[in-house]
Amino acid sequence: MKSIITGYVAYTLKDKNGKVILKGAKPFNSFVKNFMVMLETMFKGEDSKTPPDTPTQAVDINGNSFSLSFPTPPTDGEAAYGIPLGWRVNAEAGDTLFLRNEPTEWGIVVGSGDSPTTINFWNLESIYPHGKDEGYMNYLSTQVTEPEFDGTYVKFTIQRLVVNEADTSQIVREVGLIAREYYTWKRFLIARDVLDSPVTMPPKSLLEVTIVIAGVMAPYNIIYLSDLSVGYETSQVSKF
Amino acid sequence: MNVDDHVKSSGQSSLGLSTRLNVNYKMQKRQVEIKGLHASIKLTLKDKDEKTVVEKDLPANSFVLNFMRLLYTAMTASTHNVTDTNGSVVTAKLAKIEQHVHYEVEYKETEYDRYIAGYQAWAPKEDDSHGVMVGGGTTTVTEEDYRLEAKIPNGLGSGQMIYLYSRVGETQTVGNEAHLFITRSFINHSGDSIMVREVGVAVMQVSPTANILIIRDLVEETEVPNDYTLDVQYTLEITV
Repeated sequence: MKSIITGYVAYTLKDKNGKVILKGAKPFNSFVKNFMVMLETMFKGEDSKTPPDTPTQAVDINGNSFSLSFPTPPTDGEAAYGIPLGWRVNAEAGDTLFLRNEPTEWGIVVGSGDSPTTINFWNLESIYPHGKDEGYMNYLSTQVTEPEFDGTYVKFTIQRLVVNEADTSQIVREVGLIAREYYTWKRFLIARDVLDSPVTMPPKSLLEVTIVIAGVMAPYNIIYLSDLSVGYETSQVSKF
Repeated sequence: MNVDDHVKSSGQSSLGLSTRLNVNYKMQKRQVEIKGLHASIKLTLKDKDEKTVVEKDLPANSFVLNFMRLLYTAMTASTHNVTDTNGSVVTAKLAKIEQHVHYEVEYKETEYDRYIAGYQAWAPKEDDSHGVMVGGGTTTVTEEDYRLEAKIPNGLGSGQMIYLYSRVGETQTVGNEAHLFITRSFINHSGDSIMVREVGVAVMQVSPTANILIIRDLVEETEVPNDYTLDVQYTLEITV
């Protein structure tokens, strides 16, 4: 028996009139190597006087290796007390990011690839970039809830709306979570899952994607995962 | 009838295109293998000649609530309240700060600037405030635990053990798994046997300075005779 940090992805498809036409969910449990590198870097940190061991390098969404970092705050006051750093997944709306000349593809992203995830994945197989034409998706802003304990596990949710603005249907088969490093804006994939069934998004339809990161805080044999909002329940059985 | 059944009965081959789809379907129930981030513990007891006399591989059952809170702050570059190992509520944030260190020893003044960052799980020798730690408590782990129940302090006195360097290893991949080791050795020079019944990991936050427990586990009671060494290895693991 072991406790575990895992999760699930729930999705709701609405047509152009806002009518729900599909709901689904599946375990979102394919953290990749970059996620562990992120934890390693967090646990090592930095110390200029007694440097800890050098952290393992991550691989960015272009396939290039790089070291996660902690930027030095620019002002004396911020340097004295620190400002919250990290590797964000709470992306703003794609249009907002585009207007600010920031990278647009990060946070919750979707794609059309369906190859099984392996531990060294560094991007979605075939991501839909932010945009409004065929081959693109319009990524709206992200909402992240604070951690809460519901009696069985503690969780926080990451939710994003994705709109198919094209005049043709587009198929979503994979969902990923891409983090963006504070200040450097380097992006790296931390998790990716292939949906059980492809989701065909009609023109102008909206896909609401919710990724729940859940930690089971006690020894378990079976946890019962449910999301009544999407009519989904799964009993997950430890096979360790 | 579930979504798939509805789609089949409607004669539509493409999800999302059916206007006859009824979303008021019954709850789906499935059993799947649970994956994600989990941990295990290895205890190795060595005699005064460094010969291994006992080895135990044990499940690590208990990421506590603070772990998810810290993960949340790192993935959103924000703050969240946690309870530190003193029982005080502190604001957690992943930060980097500049410290101006100044002290005087035997009329000699020393000063330097130091940059530190992260939630550090590594710790210097003889620092028992964070890193891997051991204790003698037996109370069941709860998600709100913020310290070991009865930490064995660093030292040479009765009921004390010498804490060596707490080390965070490098992320390693084997097949479709990634591993991260956090290790520490404890030497008993107290003159008598000491019983270890709980182990855990706390991290040091740099600003505001605080030590935060992230994992606590009860382990099989292990007697550490005088002049023996106990190696504790936590393995964090993700499986795709």
